[in-house]
Amino acid sequence: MLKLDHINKFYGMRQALNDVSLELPRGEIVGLFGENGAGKTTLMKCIFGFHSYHGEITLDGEPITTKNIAKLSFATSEHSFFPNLSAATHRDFYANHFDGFSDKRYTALMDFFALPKHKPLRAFSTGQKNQFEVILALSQGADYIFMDEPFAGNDIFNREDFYKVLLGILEPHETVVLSTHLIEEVSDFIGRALLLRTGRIIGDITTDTLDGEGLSLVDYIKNTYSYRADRVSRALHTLTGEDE
Amino acid sequence: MKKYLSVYAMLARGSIWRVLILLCLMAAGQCGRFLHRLQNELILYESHVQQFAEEAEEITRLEQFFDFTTVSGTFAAAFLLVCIVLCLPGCGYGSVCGYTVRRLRISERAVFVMQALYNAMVFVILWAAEVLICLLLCHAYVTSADPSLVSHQTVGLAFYRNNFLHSLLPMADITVWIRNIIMLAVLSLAAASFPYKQRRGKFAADIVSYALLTVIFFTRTVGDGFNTFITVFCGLCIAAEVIWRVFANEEDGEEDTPHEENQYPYAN
Repeated sequence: MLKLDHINKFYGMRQALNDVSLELPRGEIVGLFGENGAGKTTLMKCIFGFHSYHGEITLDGEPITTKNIAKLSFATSEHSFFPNLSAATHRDFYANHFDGFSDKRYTALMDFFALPKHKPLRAFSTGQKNQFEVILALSQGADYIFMDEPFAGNDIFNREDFYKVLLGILEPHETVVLSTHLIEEVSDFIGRALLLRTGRIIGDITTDTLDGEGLSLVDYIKNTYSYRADRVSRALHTLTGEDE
Repeated sequence: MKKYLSVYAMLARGSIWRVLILLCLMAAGQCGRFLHRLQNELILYESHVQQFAEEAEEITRLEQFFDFTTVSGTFAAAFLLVCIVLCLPGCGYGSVCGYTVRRLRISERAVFVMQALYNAMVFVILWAAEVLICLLLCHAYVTSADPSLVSHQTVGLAFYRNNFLHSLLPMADITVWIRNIIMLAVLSLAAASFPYKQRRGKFAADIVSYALLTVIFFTRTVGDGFNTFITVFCGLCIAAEVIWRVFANEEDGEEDTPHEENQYPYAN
């Protein structure tokens, strides 16, 4: 169980995370949603210790240190690989460094995305870099796989195929936390939705509950954010002086 | 142990082949120039030995060959390029590889120490290769030159008389050995601090300044205390700064950028 207890994070005077408390058991696929600047990336970075914060984050009751951090993996659209090294070198490094590394999964995903194995990663296209980032995160052997906008820049066919593959390969003990703006695309794929706004968790619901209430994920998010459907027509009216 | 070796292997795979290519180019450049000059000088000596004996003897002394064929200049160029190669592993130009370094099973400081040790090993290889090349060139000279020009002391005298050779292999000169070891340690630390600082969005001038200082002051005249003082003093200052920054200063590598503005408010 990954537990976040009253997490607060400040950038100077601005509060990026405001009293975030959360429990993430194993075996869930969680969507993390929110506007730009809501705190999604900051939350993930605090979990990994990339940012200092106030509060407590524990994994199975222990603080996250070099002893247990291998149970967490991270795929980010910023990319975290070594650009001068090839995919094959990364594979060898991960296989030697992380005891749980799954070579079978790595090879299967490399074949699925048809990525070159011996080319330096700096020579990959943006889409290929995203794909490789995700492959490493999924192959590391982590129980918690965090993905921050992993497919920004990939085409829709690639993304949809990947979601299907992901659902097929995940083990029951693996949790995926997926931060994305592509809500409709992942709505059939996630089991739980977390909504962040200005650093606060304003929504936490399972898709089973949503189904029971007859709500779609997009509707739930719009309701939670108090989305006003007439904002477009009002804006157009202001701009053109005419009704929509 | 495996977790440390994996980092070591990754550092080596990212740079060792570049270092080996540079060593080969350095060896080819130095040997090519030296042997070409040696051949020309021997032909000149043999054809004019009677008429220009004094002149010929003067220009074919072993220690002068190393100056005339710019062996030290080639070594300096190779050394600077090796420094650049050693600075690259762990840098994330086009990527934020600090995220990977900071979520390994060993701490980032341990990675820094491993990188410094790896750098030291590479600098030792560079030094050993240069010593070997110089000894081979000496051997080529001794076996090719006219017997009247060489004795069993020729090589030893060359390493004493030539400033570059003496700095490279100071034999009984303990002061230069100590200076060289300090130089090696400081260069290793400074090169390891380059990616450490780059991952924090900073530029490490340590390795640039000390590599240039090394190139300028490495070739030392016998008994030159000022040269030794400058290199050792600057080296110790740089080492202290690097160690303090990595081990004493609590930098968490956080880019303390302000919270991104809410660009797409869904609601009013």
